[in-house]
Amino acid sequence: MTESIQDIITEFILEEFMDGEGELDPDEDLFEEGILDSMSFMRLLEFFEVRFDVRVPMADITMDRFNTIYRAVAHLRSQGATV
Amino acid sequence: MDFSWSAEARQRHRAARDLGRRISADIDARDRAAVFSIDAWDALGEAGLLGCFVPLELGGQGLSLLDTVYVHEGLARGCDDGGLLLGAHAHMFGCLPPLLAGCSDDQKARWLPRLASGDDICALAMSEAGAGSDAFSLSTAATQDGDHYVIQGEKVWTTNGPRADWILVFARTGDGSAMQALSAFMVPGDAQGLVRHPDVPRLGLRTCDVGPVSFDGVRVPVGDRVGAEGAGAQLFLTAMEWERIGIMTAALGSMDRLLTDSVRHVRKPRGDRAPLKSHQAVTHRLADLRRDLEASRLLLYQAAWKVTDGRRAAVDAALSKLTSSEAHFTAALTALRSFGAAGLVEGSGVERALRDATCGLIYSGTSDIQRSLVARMMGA
Repeated sequence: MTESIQDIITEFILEEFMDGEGELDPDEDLFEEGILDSMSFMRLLEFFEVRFDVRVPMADITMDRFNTIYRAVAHLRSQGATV
Repeated sequence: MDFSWSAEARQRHRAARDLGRRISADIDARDRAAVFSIDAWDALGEAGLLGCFVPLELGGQGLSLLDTVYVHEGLARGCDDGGLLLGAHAHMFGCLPPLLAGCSDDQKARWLPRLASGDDICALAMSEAGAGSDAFSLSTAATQDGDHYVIQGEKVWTTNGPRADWILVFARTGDGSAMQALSAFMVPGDAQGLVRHPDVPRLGLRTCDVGPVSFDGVRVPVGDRVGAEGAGAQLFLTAMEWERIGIMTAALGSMDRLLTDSVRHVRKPRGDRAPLKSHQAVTHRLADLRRDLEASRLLLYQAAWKVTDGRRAAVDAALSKLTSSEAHFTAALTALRSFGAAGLVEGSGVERALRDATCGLIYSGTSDIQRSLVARMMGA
């Protein structure tokens, strides 16, 4: 079965920023929960660009587009992200 | 990617280099006196060099970042006034990108034309004394009071701060993660409660005004907030990405000049003695300098190309800043070793280059900060 964009993002965040432990609610605020800070956020954006072949220019970035997994998925889809 | 330049780009590069030579002819005297040249600043503005990537309709040149860095590399090749370049680069590469990214059309029309022309000078106020290596750890706060915000706090090491017409200040507007709790504001230099402290005497880059800025209950209209409330972190990251790329054009230009001067020096006849170039230890250092210059140049172009192409460039910008600043410092030491005692003399240009290059290891994030950023971006 093909992984979805949401699965891929969730796995990346869990592995890279949560040491592979715990669970992620796709609707929880990643900044408020302390999962993402400035560095990990920049890293996540770079991952989006490489993994989903999209551009995420600074002018397009607002935290409310990326503060939850659901919102990140919606924005990436709107930018033509492909798995 | 192809880094060959069009005839038009080469012409802009040469024109900027020639202008740089003209406006920095008096640098030794101004360096000793630590005096900023407003005439040189105005000349940069008139030549369009303070708003290269600002859209034409907002008074800029409408260039890409890649074309901009090539122009500014030319400027820095000719301009021996590292302090002037620091001020120009903090203004253009540090302040203008977040304004272009975050301002409304009305705000852009209000601020950008005078900033792009250099008629107004802008300073970015972010660093705080207690923040350490975490730039986002701010105590400066902006509290909303009706249709204004009230800003309280103090910023340090604010390039252009002592003479800025506008200060782009970052402050906390909420609790919680800094990624959602910082906001940016444009504060006029004559705002009530704003104190622009004098230039801090320092080792190098002395012809630029750098100092603390205090905000004691400064009232800023809500309409002068840049971007949405809470958008400050993303705007600051934009600023750092562009600044770390653009600011190092000064290092490229200086390294190129140091290399040329050093080669010329080691070829000089020395009476009965063989010229210095007969010593392999001397020429190998110059070969290393050339290697470092070319590597720095390519990293900088690659970072600028990525931004121009709409890609992420945080790692590239950090690698470029780290490599160029360290290479610049080494190049200045190499030049000093080539010139010997003559390079220690005030007015030789070499000792000033070494003092200026030392500052490059510190500003816009120290070398260790850049290394930490790159490591964290790799997941290490």
